This record gives sequence, structure tokens and C-alpha cells, in this order.
Amino acid sequence: MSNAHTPRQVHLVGYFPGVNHSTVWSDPASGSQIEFDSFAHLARTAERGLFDYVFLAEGLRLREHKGEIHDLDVVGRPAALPLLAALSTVTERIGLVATVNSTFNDPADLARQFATLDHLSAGRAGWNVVTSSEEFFGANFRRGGYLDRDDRYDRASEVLRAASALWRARPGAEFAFGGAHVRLDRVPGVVPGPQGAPVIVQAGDSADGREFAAEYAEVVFSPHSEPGPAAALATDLTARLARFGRGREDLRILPSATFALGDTQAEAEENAREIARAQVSPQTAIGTAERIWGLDLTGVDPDGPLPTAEPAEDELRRGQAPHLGERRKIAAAWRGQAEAEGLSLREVITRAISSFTLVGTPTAVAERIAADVASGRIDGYVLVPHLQPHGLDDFVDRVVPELQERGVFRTEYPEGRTLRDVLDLPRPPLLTRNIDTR
Amino acid sequence: MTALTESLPAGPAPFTVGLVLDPGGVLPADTPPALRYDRAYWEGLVHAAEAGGFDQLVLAGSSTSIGPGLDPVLLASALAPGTGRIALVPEIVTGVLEPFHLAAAVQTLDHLSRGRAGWLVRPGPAGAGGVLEDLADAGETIAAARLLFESWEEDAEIRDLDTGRYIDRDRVHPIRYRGSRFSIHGPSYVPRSPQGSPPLLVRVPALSEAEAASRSGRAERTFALEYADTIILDATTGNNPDQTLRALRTAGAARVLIEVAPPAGAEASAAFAERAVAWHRLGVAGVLLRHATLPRGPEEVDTHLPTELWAQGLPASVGGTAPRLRALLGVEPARNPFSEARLAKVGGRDE
Repeated sequence: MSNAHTPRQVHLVGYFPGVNHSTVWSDPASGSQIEFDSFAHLARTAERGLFDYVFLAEGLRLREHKGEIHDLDVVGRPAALPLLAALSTVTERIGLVATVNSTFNDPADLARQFATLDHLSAGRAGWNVVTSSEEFFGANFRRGGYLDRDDRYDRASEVLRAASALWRARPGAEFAFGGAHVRLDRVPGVVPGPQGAPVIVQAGDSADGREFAAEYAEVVFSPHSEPGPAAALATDLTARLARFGRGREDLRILPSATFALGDTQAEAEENAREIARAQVSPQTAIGTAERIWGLDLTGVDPDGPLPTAEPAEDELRRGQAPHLGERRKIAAAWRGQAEAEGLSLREVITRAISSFTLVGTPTAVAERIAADVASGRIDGYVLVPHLQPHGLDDFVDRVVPELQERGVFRTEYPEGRTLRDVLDLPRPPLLTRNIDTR
Repeated sequence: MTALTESLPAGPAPFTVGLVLDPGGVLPADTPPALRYDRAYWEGLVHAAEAGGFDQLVLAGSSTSIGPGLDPVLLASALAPGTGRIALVPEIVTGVLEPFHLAAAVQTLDHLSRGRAGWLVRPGPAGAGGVLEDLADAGETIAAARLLFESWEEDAEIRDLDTGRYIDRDRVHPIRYRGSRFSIHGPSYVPRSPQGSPPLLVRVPALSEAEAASRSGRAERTFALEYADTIILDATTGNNPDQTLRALRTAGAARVLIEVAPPAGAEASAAFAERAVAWHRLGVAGVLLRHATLPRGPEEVDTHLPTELWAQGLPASVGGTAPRLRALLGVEPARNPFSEARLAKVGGRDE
């Protein structure tokens, strides 16, 4: 809690770099994307830096481009919960958060798995609840694309309430839950872990997603790091939280942040340019343009001008394509930029998809983070490194001490040993509110 | 590619000795009930078992019940990095699980353990159709999972700087599984694991003659014979396993492990060792020991028996190397159909 004497405290999260273009696999320092040792190094580094938690995305289906598996980015990853269970044995304090979809899973199974991770880690489990309704992903699951887009969060809410009821049920007692989406009959109870329920993280930015966050989430993984949009999100969430009897202090807002460091500002900017260049190969530039335009751009020169045509209806990239309206807006903005500054296709795209949130000397980056958190808009950052497994090394060695010197970041983990203690969140909605389990 | 041996040296197949522990099992009355949720407790047990010569640890309920306890796949995953030799076989109850997630979890366990993963499938409630529907669902789940295991060829990751490609997508294959209960497009999102397809174990109870002749008894046996790489014959039911063993061997079961309650005392151990020698002569691949209650701690993991069996001349698995579970059980290395087709084509051109 902040008061006049202790500034608002920064919370930091480490993201395992995965299947996005931002993960540079071509660098000689880039290690395995599947072996345990890679993940263990990143998790231990984050723990050495006293981060709140490490965070893993989820695989529902490999991305496809023009009807084939998208092959330009990292492809493939371990299953999140087994990996985090293994990481619980090589770490002691850092939280372990898995992204798990509420649409394509059995709620009782999820309740048992998250309780297990919480036991194994002695209270360090978290669940980033995401939703999906796309047929594309449904094709890998029993019920297919069964869910209407509008019902995603209704289902998510029922899944959470059912899981919560299971965690609160007397173990061994017969248990039933009946909702519109989730029905559980005669399920054996599960014994909850030390936290009672995992820390709930939410990442969707739609109105429904924000409402869900206000009702259930303890952390919001936000896409908005720029001051304007970040302030707007904080204001919106604060208003929504009030409707559920919660305050801004009951929720951590953590935007994702990419970063590039250097001994001088100029060197940091040069490093950023170099990383961006590795992130956006000529092939990735064309592939990204095809993703936005929905047109086959085979043979187009990545160092030449942008396509003149309007984006087409076709979604050439499956599993990672914005909707047509959004794609039209993006194309128009890129074209404007290219014309105004005389940029090539690759240059525009590099700037658009590989701009860095935090660029500067360790001192400058620490000052920026401290100021962002002091403003109350956000509570810290989810750091997305560009390299597995060493991508957090520099940040931990160089930026964390600067934050500590400013009195805005812990110098040791708190006495309480759970992830909820580390996040300083005493009032988890799943455990303190009377949740209707019907 | 890996430090682990692909197959064991030539010689007699080892007689393997495994331990079965039930994450939801009964604890001795004088132990705190929360002990079964304590990771350090399980780490103590697995280290004692590994040091004592056990070849595998099966994490499973009894064949009739599952109590509350840690999820076996996640528990096995947590035990994988800290162990180097013992195989880890969690029980998976099918019925409502998503086969796509399940396959990814088993593949991940195989990566975490560097090829020491197995999976024990128990057909669980899948609908209102009783045992036959449960078996049908389990069969489809296994079929789909095995296709997912093989959906990546070994050398799919290429990191080719010239073309900007991370993978050769011609070596990653949709499975397009279409069953009567569900369809799965695939491929898996997990790259091929060290064993490719971790061995599947299925348990059948030792049955009395009457039980063995019943419809569900026959269906369960047929299911095990059709799908399992190795069958666990559960002799803790009180029935003599020999008759069911004969029936399984007659029906063509290649590999059978016999699950028994460990003998108590030196005399019983000696008698048991003699039985084990006889089973070995009949082609049984090993024994699994399941205590009625969970041990209080590592000091109660009885490692006397493996020593006793090997003293009787039963071939131990070779010390010093860490075999993959398939090799340990005498299951041939998994053959990726896509890679084989490619090699066949190349061979054809050479001729």
C-alpha cells in the first residue's frame, strides 16, 4: 500500500519468449524452445530479480499462413502446467502462472490441475484465464467451435465459479454444479492448495473481458503501456471494480513491455534497431503484410513500397489475424507513415510490430518504470524478452538494482510465501465474495 | 541427439521392478493427511526408489478407486527434473479430458524426463453408456494421442537463416483424426519428444473364472490387448494372476507386468522371488509393487526386494545408463510413419 512515505511499489513479471515474431531464434545466443533447462534459466533469473511471477502462454493450434503451418516464427512449445510443475522444483519464491483457456477444458479437471500446481509450488500458482470461440481452435477439441463469440465470458465465468466451488467443497463430498454452460455431477472434490484458489489473471481487452476482470481478476495483463491508453484503462477498470465492491488497490494492472538496454541512450536505440531487424526478416515483413492485407504478396520486394490495394476479406493467417475492420485501419496507418517518411514495406512493418516499450540506459528505464507506476495508471510490467533463455539477464542485473535504489522495488521477497502475498493482494474475489454456484 | 541410450545392449530383456504409489492413497493413521500434498514427501520417495534400484514409478490409484490427491501427470512432471534414471508413469483417467491437451502433457513429461515417460490409461466415465462407452472413448483418445505424438518428425526444427524458416513445415503434419466421438485436426503444438510415442500401459485385474467370462471382463481384456504397449496385470485383487496371465499370453499379449502387494518379511520375500523367477520364465517383463498404504517417508520405501530378485538371477536393467522407458520395457523404438515414408522414397530413388 502506498502512502506519503513509501512510493507505490513496482511489480515485475517475466514472460517466456515463445511463438511470436518478437522471439529472435536466429541469434547464436538463442537456445532451445522446448528443453527444460531453457525455461529453468529464465525462471531462476526472474527469481534472482525478485519478480512476482513467470508467465507462460498456451498452445491451441499451430498458426497457419496461406493454408500451411506458419514457419517463420518459433513453432512448438511445452504444455504449460506440466512445465510449471517442473519449474516449481527449481525455484522457491517466484509465482508460476499458466495461461489456460476456459472454452476448451473440463472445469473439474482444471480445478484439480491448478490445485495441484498450488500444492507443488507451496502456494505460487496463478491462472491466466483466456477465452476463445474460434472454429479454427475448436477443430482440435471434442466439441469443436461450439461456443458463440458473445458467450465466451459467460462460459469463463461459470468455469471459474465451478472451479471455485470445487476448491471450497468438502473433500470427498459429492458435488454438483449446474449452469447454462457448465454442468458437473458427482465430481469428487479437490483439496485446494495453500492459496485456496490460484491468483486469477485476465488478459482480454474487450468490454466483456474488462467486466470479467473487474469481477474475478487480481491481475490484468494489459496491452496498453502508453500513458493515454493506460490511464483510460485504469479509469475504466476502477469504475467497473466499484460495482463489485472492489477498489483499484485490489487489482494489479501490468502491461506487456519489450525492452532494449544500452550504456547510453544512443547505444540502447541502436540495440533496439538491431533486435528489430532480427525480429522482422524480409520473409516476416512479407508474411506480416499478407496477414494484414489478406493478399498473396509472393514476389513483392520487402524493401519496396507498400501494396496499393485495400485489405481483402480473406484471412491468410489463421490463429493470429485481426478482424477485417482492424486490418483496414492498420493498412491505412502504415500507408500514411510510409508516405510521410518515405519508408519501405519492411521499415514500416518493423516500426509497427517491433517498436520497444522501454529503450534506454538502465537508469533511464528504471526512472520510466518508477514514474509509470507512481502515476497509478499501472503497477509494473510484464517483461517480454526477445531471447530464450538469456533474455532477462541484463534487465535483472542492471535495471532491478536501479529500481531498488529508488525505493520502488523490493530488496527481498516478503515474509508471506504465496504468490498472492508477493503481489500484495489480500482480498481475492474468488475466496472473499459469496459466489453463486447455483 | 541425446545422452540417453536408444536401446539396451543385446542380452536378455531386463526383469523390471517398479513401485506403484497412489497420490490419493491412504496414509498411515499417525501421519498428517496433508503429507500427500507435500512435494518434498514425493521427492523423498522417488529418490529412495531410484537409489534402491526401482526401474519405474507408477503414480496411480488402485484399480477400483481414485482418491483426492495430486494430479498424477503434474506430480510426475515435478519429479522429472530431479531424477535421472527411474521411469515415470502417471495414470490418466479418460472420459472428459481433451485428447489434444492430454497428448501435449504426456509429450511434455517425456521432454522433462528425457525419455522416461509412460502413460497408464484408465477408461473413465465418458457418458451414459457404461463400460463399453468408456472403453470406446478411451480407445479413441489413445488413437488420437498417438497420432499427435507422431505429428512432428524429429528433424522438423531447422532454423534456416537464408529462407527465414524456423521449421520445415513439410515435417510437421496435421493428423486429421476423425472418430465417432470427436475429431482432431492437429498437429500437436509440442515438438516430437525423446521417445516419440511414450509407451502406453493399461491395467487389467486378475479375475476369477466367472469374472473373466463376463462381458465387461472380456471387453476390458480386449481393450488392453488392442491398445497397450505393456499390460499391467493387477494381482492385488486377491485372485491368482496365473490364469489371467495365461489368457493374456494366449491372446498374444507381448509384455506383461504383474502388480502385487509386496511380500512382508524375509521368508515371504524369498517365496516371492521364486514366483518371480517362474513368471520371468513365462515371459513376464517385471513386477510392480503396491503397498496398501503410502509409506511414511523414504525410509519406508522397501528397496530390499529388487536386490533379492536380482540375487535370484533375474536380469537387472543395466546400471549406469538411463534407458528410455520403451527400451526398458522391451518396446521397439517408435517409428515415425512420415519419416519412414520419406526414407523409403529416398531409397527408391537410389535404386
